[in-house]
Amino acid sequence: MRLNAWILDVGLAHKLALGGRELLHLVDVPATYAVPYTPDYCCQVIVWQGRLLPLMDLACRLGAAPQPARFAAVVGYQEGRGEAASFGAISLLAPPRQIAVSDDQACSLPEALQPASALMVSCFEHEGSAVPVLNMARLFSTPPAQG
Amino acid sequence: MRLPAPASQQTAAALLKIGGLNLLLPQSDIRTLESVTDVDHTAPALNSMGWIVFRQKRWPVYSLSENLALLTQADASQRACVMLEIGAGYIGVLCNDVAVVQELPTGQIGLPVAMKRADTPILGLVQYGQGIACLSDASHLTAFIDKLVALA
Repeated sequence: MRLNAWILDVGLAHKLALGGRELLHLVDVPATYAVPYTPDYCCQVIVWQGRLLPLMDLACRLGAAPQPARFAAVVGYQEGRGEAASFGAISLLAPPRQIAVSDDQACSLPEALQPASALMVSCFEHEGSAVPVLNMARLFSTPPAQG
Repeated sequence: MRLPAPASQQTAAALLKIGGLNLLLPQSDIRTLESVTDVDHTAPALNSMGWIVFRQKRWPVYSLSENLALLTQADASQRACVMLEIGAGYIGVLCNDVAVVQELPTGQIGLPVAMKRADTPILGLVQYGQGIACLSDASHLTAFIDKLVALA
């Protein structure tokens, strides 16, 4: 079976991926607004269609240095089956690329990203690299660790 | 996301400007507004800016940055002092400016989960002017300051 996915450049050595239906909109150089006392990886919001959305810096979330938001990918996801859609935004360095992925591309999560395995749903091989697929609900519904 | 009750259910709110931060509290949470010139800087309480007299007693006055960090050096641009109730007493919080907002804009959201530290005083967000405002209330803000003071 072949499915569509979006390849994201978030400023990490590894590319990441989203499900084909999860990406709703690409915002070029979004205006961002800081929210105090929030984790470094999710400390800003953007306005999209009259809504305030949290902007996730995945490079920072996965342990690298914070990256500037050159683009914001607006994503939609469900917390659970039958629940209303929730929305968030992911900071990108470049526009996403759409590709088709088949089951035989499945592979293991790269060692470097094992600590963040809870934020991934699967992983596939693409152009010689492992590309983890993000779990949007987990990413946006996990509160920051204390301390 | 659930709407934060405090500011959303009030018809009027107080907008505290702290640097670039817009902080909206229910107007009824502000006991009074004083001038920073009334702050007595003699022998301040731990991590405070000084004392202010309110209802025949003196209460500590604190200063926050726009990132909600406790400041220990006075910020000359903070010229107003709002008095908030904390337990059986009060504290003063310095800010650049205070304004009354009669009608809050619609579209308030609860603070997104990914941003929400367990002890945050920010309950929600709303578009305001050309940016955003953070929704809070006196009980959450004073508890937060109390914790900052204890940890500093």
